[in-house]
Amino acid sequence: MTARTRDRFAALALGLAPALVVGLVAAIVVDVAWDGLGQIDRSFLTESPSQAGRSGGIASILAATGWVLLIGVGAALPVGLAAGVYLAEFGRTGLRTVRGALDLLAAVPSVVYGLFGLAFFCETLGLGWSVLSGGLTVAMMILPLFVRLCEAGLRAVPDDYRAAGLALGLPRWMLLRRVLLPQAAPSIAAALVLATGRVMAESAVFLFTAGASTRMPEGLLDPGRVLAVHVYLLAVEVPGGSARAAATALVLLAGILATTGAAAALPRLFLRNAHA
Amino acid sequence: MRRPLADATFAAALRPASWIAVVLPGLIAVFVGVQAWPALRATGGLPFVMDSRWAPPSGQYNLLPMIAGTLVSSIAALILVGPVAVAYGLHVNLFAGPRLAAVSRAGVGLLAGVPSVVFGLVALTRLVPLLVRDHPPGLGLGVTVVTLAAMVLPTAASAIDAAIQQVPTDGIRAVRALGLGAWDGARGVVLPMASRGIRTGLVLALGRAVGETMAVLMVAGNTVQYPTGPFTAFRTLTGNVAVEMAYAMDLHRSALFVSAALLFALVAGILALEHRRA
Repeated sequence: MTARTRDRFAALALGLAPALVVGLVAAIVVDVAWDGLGQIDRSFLTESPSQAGRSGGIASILAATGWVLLIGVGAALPVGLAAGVYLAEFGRTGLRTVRGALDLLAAVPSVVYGLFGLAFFCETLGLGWSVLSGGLTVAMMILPLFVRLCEAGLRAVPDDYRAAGLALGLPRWMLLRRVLLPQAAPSIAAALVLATGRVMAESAVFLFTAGASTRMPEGLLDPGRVLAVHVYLLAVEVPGGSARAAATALVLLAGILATTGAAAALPRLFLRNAHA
Repeated sequence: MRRPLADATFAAALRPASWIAVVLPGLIAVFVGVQAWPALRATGGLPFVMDSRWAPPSGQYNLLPMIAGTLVSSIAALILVGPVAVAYGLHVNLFAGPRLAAVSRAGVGLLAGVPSVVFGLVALTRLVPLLVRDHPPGLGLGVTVVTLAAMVLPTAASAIDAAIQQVPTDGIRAVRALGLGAWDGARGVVLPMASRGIRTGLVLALGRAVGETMAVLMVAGNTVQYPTGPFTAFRTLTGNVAVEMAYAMDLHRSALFVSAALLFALVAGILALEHRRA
């Protein structure tokens, strides 16, 4: 067998793997849409659930998801950005320790975060089962991803820019504000959007920290049930709830697909504006 | 005139943010550990592997079936995922054109974003009904392994893709200059040179599989018994916490924190092993 025929066979056989991945994504989306699309109308998005979710909509679920998103991303943003800047621009000593700690944070299972959040935020700090407890716990979960993406975005800015800025006598913070951050802005925006998708996908953490109440959360200290938890409870604990579970899952998937698409498109959009 | 913020002051202002990252894993360990302590102290620890069964209300704390459930299901999923992820990495880097590779990578990105509960929902409404007639209730190890494999595939695939991208191109060019094909290059040069990165990718996937909660909770059946066959219902360490936390009190609750502490130690151990070898 010549090298060329071998290559052709190999390309076909190995090509099954990416085909499986793409097929799997398509199957999941089509499957959820098949069961769920018929359930979705205007009232599904504007009414709160009744009868454990068998009827009514998901308005309060969307609100709770919005709360934990705002709190989680809002708390992770300043800390993550500062840590990313420090690692990319100043960090020399202790870099390995910080990286190792971030790897560990990224690897901790979500159910462990859930129990930690329950013991620390809900009980020790007295925040109770609330969107605040859930948001702060999930902020810890997305921190490693966010720090790493911010750091990578800053490192991707060519060193010439730094040299030019410093040669002009700019202090480091000015260099960062006027040159480096604007250059890295697309990657940081993409990092934010990806972190948003992560928060939406999370469920185990919120089960233990934000609770499962279907009431509309009115403030930071109110409990709330997020989309992913609603999907789980409808599918497992509500007989005949699977169509509604699929409809909720479809809304969740749409949100996540939108964030994934936006994260991929953001850097290109910025680039086009920069050249226009 | 305002004096410009000195560089050293600026760096000092940012430094605490990176300390937070270092402090957080310790904080998690302390708070989970403190809650786990009462059960460990009351029992002396050994009953978690020596008791005859898991029945916390009657003082029986054997976690071995759950430990076995976590290990067996995660390793089986990894065995399914390994070859697929390696084939994917080779294909997008060495065999696919740029457009096809972009579609494949977008597929992995999207699959990585699919929430755990959606994997669970699809497995529950599509896979389980296929099994329910011959093997009621259809829940158990087999479905769980397949679901887990689908979930950790993107983790392994993108890490292995990155590892193969790191292989210097002159190695590949040298093979081509010898008149050998892409497959020869893949087998003889790329795979050996990327082997460390491939192992790291598989270890990351193992860590994810061990920690996975919701999808597993939905399809494992959650009966406390050893996973002996593809159709036995079983329970993982994560599932153990999720199933019982809602009603657990006192020592029972503390015993669930022992489950969580064990998970934390397992994942930290996997990571440490990988860091030391790298």
